[in-house]
Parts: sequence; structure tokens; C-alpha cells
Amino acid sequence: MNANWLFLIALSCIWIMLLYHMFLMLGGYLYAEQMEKRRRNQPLTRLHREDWPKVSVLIPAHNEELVIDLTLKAMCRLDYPMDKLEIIVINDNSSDRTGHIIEQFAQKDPRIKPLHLKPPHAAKGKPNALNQGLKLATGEYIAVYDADNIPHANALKHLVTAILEDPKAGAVIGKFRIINAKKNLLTRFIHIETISFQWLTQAGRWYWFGISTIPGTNFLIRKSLIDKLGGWDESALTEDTEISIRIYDEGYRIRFYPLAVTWEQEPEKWKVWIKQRTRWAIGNQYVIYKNIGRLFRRNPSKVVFDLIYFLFTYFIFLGAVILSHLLMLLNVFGWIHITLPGPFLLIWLLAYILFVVEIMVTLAIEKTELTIENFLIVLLMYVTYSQMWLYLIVRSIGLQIRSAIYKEEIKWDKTERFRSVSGNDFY
Amino acid sequence: MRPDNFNRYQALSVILGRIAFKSAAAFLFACLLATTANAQSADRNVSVDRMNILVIHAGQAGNDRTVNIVLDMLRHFPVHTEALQIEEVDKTKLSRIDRAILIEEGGTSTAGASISDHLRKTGIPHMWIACGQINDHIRPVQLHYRGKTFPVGHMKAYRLNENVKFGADNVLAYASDGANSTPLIVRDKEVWYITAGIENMRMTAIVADLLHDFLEHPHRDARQGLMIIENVYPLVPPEQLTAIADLLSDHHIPFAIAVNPVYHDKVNGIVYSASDHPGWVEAILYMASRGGTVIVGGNDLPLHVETFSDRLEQNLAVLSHLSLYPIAIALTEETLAAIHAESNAVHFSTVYGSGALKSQIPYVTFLETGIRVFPHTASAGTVMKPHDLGLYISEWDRLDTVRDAWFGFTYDAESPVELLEEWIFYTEDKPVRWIDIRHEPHKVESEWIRIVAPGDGTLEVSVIDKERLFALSQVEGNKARLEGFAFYSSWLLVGIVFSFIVLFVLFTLILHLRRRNRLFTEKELP
Repeated sequence: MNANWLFLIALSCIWIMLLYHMFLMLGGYLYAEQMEKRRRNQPLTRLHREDWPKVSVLIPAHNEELVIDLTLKAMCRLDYPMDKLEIIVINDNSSDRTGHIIEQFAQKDPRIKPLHLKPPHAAKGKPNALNQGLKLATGEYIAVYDADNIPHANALKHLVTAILEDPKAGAVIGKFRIINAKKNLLTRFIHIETISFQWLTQAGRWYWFGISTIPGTNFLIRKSLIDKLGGWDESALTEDTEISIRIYDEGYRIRFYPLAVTWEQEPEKWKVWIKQRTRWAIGNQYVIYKNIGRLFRRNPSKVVFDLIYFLFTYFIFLGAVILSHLLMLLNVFGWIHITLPGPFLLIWLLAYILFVVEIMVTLAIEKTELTIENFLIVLLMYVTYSQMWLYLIVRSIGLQIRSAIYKEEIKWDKTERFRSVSGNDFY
Repeated sequence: MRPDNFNRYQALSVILGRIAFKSAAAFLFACLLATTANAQSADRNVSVDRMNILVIHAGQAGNDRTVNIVLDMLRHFPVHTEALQIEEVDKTKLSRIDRAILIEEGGTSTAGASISDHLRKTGIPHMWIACGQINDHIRPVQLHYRGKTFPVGHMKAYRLNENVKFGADNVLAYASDGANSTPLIVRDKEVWYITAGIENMRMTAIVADLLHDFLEHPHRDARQGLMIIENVYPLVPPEQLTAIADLLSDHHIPFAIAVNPVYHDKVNGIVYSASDHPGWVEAILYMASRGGTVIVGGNDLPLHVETFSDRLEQNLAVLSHLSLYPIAIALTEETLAAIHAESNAVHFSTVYGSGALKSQIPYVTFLETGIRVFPHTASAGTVMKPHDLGLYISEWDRLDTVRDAWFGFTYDAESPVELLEEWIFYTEDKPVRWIDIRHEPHKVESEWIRIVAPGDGTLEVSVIDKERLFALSQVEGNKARLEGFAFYSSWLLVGIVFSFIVLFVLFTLILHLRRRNRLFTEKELP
């Protein structure tokens, strides 16, 4: 196989991914338009107070003293019938004041039910905490929020509305925004990334294929379904992606419903970000290994879309980009000769423009985000933040190889929190 | 016997490859042509064999254009040639030579004049180019040589030095500016005085003709010429090729087919291989049966040594794989000078000049590597205009000056056949014998194939490495598909992506214009 073939293969792999994203962006835009209309007309279902189903909110918390009070305040303000809501806060063997704060809130609000986990059932990661909380849950639906989340008061009602009107939806996911978006350049990058991810990947996939991936917070799932699935996979580092696959397998859809909004924190330091994203990468790679066999089934389900997408994101696209970079260098130094005809410089330029334009569309969907400042950050993002993904994926593969050689267990790393907002600022 | 019979026979031998055919018809025809075909090699063994020629010049070695022209022309003759600057010449060196050619502008008081005196006294024949009084010259508009008058421009002719005696019996040529005339070439016993430089192409031709007399090399009984159909690549319509073959055959003009079996389209980068065009291959075989001989068309070969070698090997492999064994190559003079001498991938014993460059040297030259180079004379291209025809005629006339001139004409296969008819009409009464190159010896050698044409009309082909031949001939086809796919798909991609970018920019504008009414306005946290 000569350099021309390798170059063409690399380019094809890269552009399959980019074209797929382009297609998703179109779907994302159209879905945003649909949701606009929906929001104007009748966003919430009209139910009598007693007709709303009972919901159990699960909030796993491990050393969350910096943020848990804000989260619980927000939970107490949720616009949902009092007797139809229970908030199970799982204190996962915290060594700080988390347990104490939870108890304080529980004394004031009977809906809050503390669950203090101790070894050997504690500190095994978020999936374990959720499974423990699930045992206590009595609601017809289970909502999950991270301990740093501040949902809008009507977020839960939106999630319930969405699942009630769609019997095929096994779960409904809402939208999340960033509390500390303007803290520094990193949080600005993440802020733009999350908006793009939700309007492009989540909304696009939902619009075209009726699928989306549970993001780990601000989602609602049928209790009957999660019971049937046997709870969350405790081996998974990204239990949200893993359970999404199993939900599809049961024949359900996962509905993206952006009217249900929550706010959450994102890492403010590169070190924390790398740790968190490496965990995501390892977790998603675990999902690929676990489900790769489904690709070769005779009657593949919708899940194949996601599996191929993950396969491209974490292996094929990455490999193609590295190969492309390598070929470019070898060509520059004259060690190989790529003689294929075509407007390849123009194609590279178009890839950059497409990246920028796609993100600008997603930012424009949010009323306040289409700004010159964000535009400049997006320009910078392509050559900085986006390229960091290469490092992250290589790192995650390296860690897995290492853990396989030395038989080490890759542990669930808790993301470091920051106190970036006071309760009064928000309410 | 009609060459057609032989050509059909030869075409069959080409198809069958390695078998050397010797039919009675071919043999008889070969015998008829052998006399003249071998005349050239016979000529080279006459009296001038091993003659030592010293070129003495005043300019810088290698940079003097006149010296280079002289040295190139001397390659036509079987002589030992040495070039020295005037300062390097001494009596010892002069005593070892048979002839000298002195190139120096100047009169009687120069170093060149002293050498000329010495040569004359010692009885060594010599030619003095650009001699005469440098302060006294005319700008001729006409030259007169051997009873013919030729128009000329952009040259100077010096007045001959007073000590040279000349008269009607020893002036071989003279120059005229319309009002005055001056001797151009004077032979004074063993000295040939030439009172002008030879950079002018007309002067080059005259000196080329004169060299035969100077070196006592007999003139050929007839001028030879070769018609080369060039740019024969897979996209040329087969019917065009068969029409050309029929026309030339009907006028009994044998021809060479300079085939580019692998065509690289410079616009879109697509590579077209003959292997993918069976109809076109049939047409080439038909041309071969009508008097054509396949040679490699090298006018589109790149000037980069490595790429040149790769492409040349591929061309040879594809042709051989199709049993179209070439016996020579057509190269532009530019390519020949830059590459062929350095490339060892394939050795061709015969190179025919091709392309737009015109050689100043009007006859066959022999390179040190043993390669015979037949110069290119003129082309009939696709855009021939009256002006081009004028140049064409003038080139005929120029070569007419040289009794041993080689007429190498190339005709673009894509040109209208009417143009070829016109050319034939103009050429028919010219005193040129169009040769069939199969009746001359040729050799093509590479690491994986050896093709020998002994000159009797047969062909001996030895495939040394069959696998390599096959591999080389296959690569291009795959490459063609790959490059074509890459080119078209990349442009398609550009079109699609560009459309979507425009669409997305439109979306952004729409969203921006409607931003006041938009609802996704979650409260910003501080």
C-alpha cells in the first residue's frame, strides 16, 4: 500500500466523520426550530396536581460540600407536586461536610431523603451510588442529577411532560448549561463545546434517528425500565453511555428535550479537565469493547449508529488524523511522495470553515451566545482545544494498555468542584 | 515489393513478441534498403577514420555557443575531437592533429592569426570561423552558397583580411547586404576562411555542409527523413489513428508511432493507461500493419530523473505487455539533454528528436554513451497557421543547404488529417528518402526486457523478468482509477461542503435576525 492510498484512506475516514456531523447539524437546526414552536405553544402538559406521576430524584454526592447546598436549594424549588417528588441524596462515604449539609436540608424538607453509604458498599463510583439509591426509590420515574447541578424550577416538569407524551421513550434527557462559563479560557472552550455537542450531536441524532445519549445528569428514566435493566453497570466509567445502549436494546428511544434545563459546573483547570475527559474516553471505549459484537448482528438495532460513531470518534477518526499528520510531515520532508490530484488544501480550509460555521449555528440557537467574542474563541478552538482530544484519546488508550499489562484497575475519578456561585446569586 | 506486405508481417511479429521473423518478402525488401540503411555506418569507416580534430577557441570552455555547435556537429563524424583555448595551444599539440578548426574574431595580428600561419606552413588543413577585419563588416540580407541564394538576418560578415587572396574560383559563398557584398567562405588551398560566426541557423547549415568537404567525408547520395506521429496517447480516437496510417501508407511513407501508452492528464491528474483502451490498441496494431513502427513517446516525460525513469519503465512495460514492442524513443531535446544521459532505467540506442524544439544541427549525432540522436526538424502541430507553414518551408530550405541533412518531422496525432494531406502535398516533390526505421539497427535494454532490432526487419525480444514487467504494466491502471477517484471525489466533496457552509451561514443569519423572539434564553449565571 503506497502513500497515496494511505492518504486517501485517512482523508476518507476524517471526512466521513465531518460529513456525518454536517448532516447532524442540519438535523440539530431543524429540531431547534421545532422546539421553538413547541415552547411558544404549549410546552408543558396540562395535568391536575394529583395526576402528575411520582418521581424519585437521585443525587449521588461524594465530598460535595462546596456545591451540594446550591443543588439541594434548587431541588427544593422544583415546580412539582410536593407529594409526587422524593429527592434521594446518596452521600457516598464523603469525608467532608456533605453528609451534614444533606441532613440539614432533610430536616427542613421531608422530600429530601438522605442515604449515607459506608464501606463496603460505598466509594465505588457513581453507578454504585445510583444503584444504592435506586433501591430506595418509590417513584414511577427516576430523575438523576449530579451534585453540582442547579436545574431550572420547571426542568422536571418538562422531562415528565416529554416522557408522558412519548410512550416509546425509555428516557428523556434535558439540556445543561455551564455555570462557570466565563471563568477562564478553558471554561469558555467547554461552554462552547457543550452547546455544540447538544445542538449538533444530541439534537441532530434525535431528529434524524430518534436516538441520543444520556449525559449523566438532568435526565428521567422509567423505573420499570431501569429495574428491568438491573440498574447501572458498576464496571462502567461512563455509566450513562453504557445504559443508553441497553435502553436502545430494549426497544426504547432516548428523547432529547432541551426545554428542561440545568446548570452545572465544568473543570476550571486543565489538569482536572484532562482527568475527567480521560475517564470519559476510557468509559466510552469500554462501551465499544463491550458492544462491538452488535455491529455484526444480522438485524442490527439503532444502537449500531452510536457504536459506529463511537468507534470513529475514539479509534478510526483519531487514527486517520494521526496518519494524516504523519503523511503530511513525511511529504514535507520528501520521504514520501503524495501525487494524488485534487484540491486538498482547499479541503483542509473547508474543514476549518465548516467547523467554525457549525459551531456558530449552534451558538446562534442560544439567544445570548452569538457574539464576536465567542466567534474568536471558536477560531482559536480548532487549533488548540480540539487538538487536545488527540492527546486525551492516546492517553486513555495508553492507560488501558498499562492497566492490562500490570493488571491495575482503572478507578472512577471524581471531578474536582469549585465554588463559583453563591445561592443568592442565582435565586 | 510493396512495404505493405512486409508491414503486415512485421505487425504479426510484434504481436507474437519474441519470435524473429525472416520471410522471403521481408528479406528481399530488407536487402533493397540495406544498401542505403547501412550507408551511414559504412560512411563512417572511410578515409577520415581516427582523424584528430582540434577545436581552438578564444572563449570560455563550455560557455562558447559557437564552440558547442561545432563540437555537436563533429559528433556526426568518426573523429577524435579536442577543444582547447588559444592560450593552451602549443606547437607540440598542433603537431599531433590532422585538422583544426579555429574560432576567433580577429584579423592578422591576433593569436589566432599566428596559429593559422603556423598551420598553413605545416600543411595542416584548418577552418577559421569568424575571421576577418572586425572593424569592417556588413550586415547581410542574403547569403549565396552553391548557386543558391538564401535570405538571412541578424548577422555580421567581416571583410576578409587583405593577405588572403580570393577570386571567383575559390570563393565558396558570399554575403550581400543588397548594396555591397563580401566573401563569406573562401578556400585558400588547405585553409577555409569563414568571415562570420555560425550561430545563425543558416550559417550553421552551410558550415555543416562544408564540414563534409573539410573532413573529406563523402556526401550521402540522398537526404533521409523520418515521419514521426507523436502524441499518440490513449485518448486519441482510434479512427483518427487509422486515418493517419491509411493516408501515409497510401503515399508510401513509412512512419514511426511515438506512443505514450500511459497518459497523465495535467489538468485533473488522471492517468489513462492503454491497457484500459483495447480499441486504441487495435488502432496502433493497425498502424503498425500500415508501415508504422512503435517507438516510445517521451515528450510528456517529466524532467525529474527518478520520475522520468519510473514513467519510462512503466511506458515500456505497458507497451510490452500489449506486445507493442518499441525499438526507440522520441524525446524533446530538452529532456534528452537533462535526463536521458543520467537515467539508467532503460537504455535506448536510438533517440529521435521530438516536440517543439528545433535542432540547429541538421544531421545525426553520436553521443559518448553510444546513443544515436536523430534531430528534430519541424512539426506540424494542431494549431498550424500560415505563419507556421512559412517557418516550416523555411526550415525545409535551410536543411536543403546541407546535402546530408536529416529531416525529422513530427506530426501531432490529434491534428486534423487534412493538415497531414497538405503536408504530404507539399513534401511529395522534395528530394528526401523517407526511411523505415525497422531496417536500421536498434536496441532497447532494461533490467527486465531486451528488445533488439538487428536492422533486417526482424525483432528479437527477451523478457528477462516477467513478473516485473507485469507489475510495472499493472500499476498504472490502478493508479488511474485511484487518481480519478481522488480527483472527482475531492471536488465533489468541495461542492457539497461549500453548499452546506453557505446553508449554515444562512441559518446563522436567520437565527441572528430572529434573536429577539428566540426563547432559548436561559438565565446567565454570574
